[in-house]
Amino acid sequence: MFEPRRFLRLAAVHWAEHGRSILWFLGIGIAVHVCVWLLLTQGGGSREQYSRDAQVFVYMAGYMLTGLLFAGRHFAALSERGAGLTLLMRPASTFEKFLLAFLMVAVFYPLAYTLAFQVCNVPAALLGEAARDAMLAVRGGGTGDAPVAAYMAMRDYGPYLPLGGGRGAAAGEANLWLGVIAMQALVVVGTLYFRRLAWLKTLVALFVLLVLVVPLLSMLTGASIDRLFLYRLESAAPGWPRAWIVTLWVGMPALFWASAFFFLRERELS
Amino acid sequence: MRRVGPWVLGAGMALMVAGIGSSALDLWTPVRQFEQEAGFTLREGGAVDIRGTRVDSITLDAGSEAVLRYTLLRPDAAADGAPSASWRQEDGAWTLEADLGYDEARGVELELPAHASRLAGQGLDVKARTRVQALHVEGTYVRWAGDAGTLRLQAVPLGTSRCGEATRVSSVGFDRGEVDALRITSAQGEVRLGDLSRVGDVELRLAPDVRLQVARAADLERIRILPYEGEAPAVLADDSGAIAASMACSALRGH
Repeated sequence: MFEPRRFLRLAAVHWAEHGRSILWFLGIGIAVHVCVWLLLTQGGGSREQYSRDAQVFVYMAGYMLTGLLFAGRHFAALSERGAGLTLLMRPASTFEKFLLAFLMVAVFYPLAYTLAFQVCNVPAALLGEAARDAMLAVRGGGTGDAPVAAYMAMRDYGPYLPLGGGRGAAAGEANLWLGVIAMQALVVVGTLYFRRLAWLKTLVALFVLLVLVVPLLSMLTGASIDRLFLYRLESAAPGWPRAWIVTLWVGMPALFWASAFFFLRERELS
Repeated sequence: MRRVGPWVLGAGMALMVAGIGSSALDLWTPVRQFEQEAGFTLREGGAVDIRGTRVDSITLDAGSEAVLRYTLLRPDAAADGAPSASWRQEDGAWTLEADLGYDEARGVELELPAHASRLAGQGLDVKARTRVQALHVEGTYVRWAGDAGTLRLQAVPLGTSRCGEATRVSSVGFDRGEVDALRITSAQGEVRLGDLSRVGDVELRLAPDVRLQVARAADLERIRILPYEGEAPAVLADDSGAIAASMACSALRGH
């Protein structure tokens, strides 16, 4: 079922075929990040706008969007008759192909994205902090006479580093990663399940699920999903409520990825 | 061939739906309750540290329990992941010192369900202190509401400087209930007092540049205003301006 050498060969082949496009994908992401920074700072003229809050927003939004795109690309070749057959006939077990997909999508990509994010983020954050300091020096920040400067003085600046914000922030980041990993699994399932226009159909299915069904369900039942977020873990009563929260955030991605494995196996057999 | 994938996917979806549904259940009260009544009791002369969103239980004195309740309105997004608060008794008054991070929606809510009158009689001194950041709201406020043996005091802090710390209490409102005594200490900003008709002794300790506003000018006569760290407050006014200012000054002279 699993042979390390065969798995490494599979990974090497995958990288040989897709490595360049993956690097391009990350490079385009960096370029988009630069464009977003230009938009946020009005062409670089208001660099102080790039506060820590803005960085966190860009990081999370970028990860959610590009993470799903990246997941959709892994088995994209299955939509093409020739390339799809080659991919399915590759000399490796189903589990090895699945494991490679999981490692690439759920492990490699978050790390690569986080590193690529810092390429633009670090200089932009430092520029933002310098612009804020310059503004405070001119306007006497923190005084009641300069509300804008006072506002700037109270915001956090400096590069946003995931897992560098303490326990509360880490819980939110873990939520983000687990949530995106779960959605990535759904995207992978979609590309394995749909044979034609897989990405488009997956997008529609995800839209229906996340934008229509989940909010509708929440409204109808009066649910407050935020109670289930990991940062609420400590406030939940010990015992089953905490266990339930953990079960949800571990169980959902696990089940979705497990289903991806079975869908891949059934696609190979069909 | 038996297809397993859809079943496993369905199980994942079912788990998701169950999760959403569970957050709406009353059974979930331990989490829901935290928003309103995560409780601790107080050991006399001791201090409580609340790390993150966890609340530890201690005892006020023999036979007293559930005296105070502490709530972080927004337990998330802590500046350093560990908002903390502590109580201490000083000159007969209980003082809460809360270090609350930076979000404007975050605050401390205290419920005094069981022995509120006793505590209020001793005087309750509230200092909501923020360390950093965020300036979306125009003031810290303290709201005190009470009903049927329950008094509630709420303080939402306002960040005032990037590095500094400040104590600001800008408004107090009394919705219901009766309060034996109210003591407020404010180093800057302004203090707004609502209807004080259900309040016994009112004692304010204000720094020189703190503004005072009262809902009813007549209440000024009942307010005892003390200097903050030896400096008498210089600016006192209510919504009606100069008249109230003179009344406030007379109230000050009266003490």
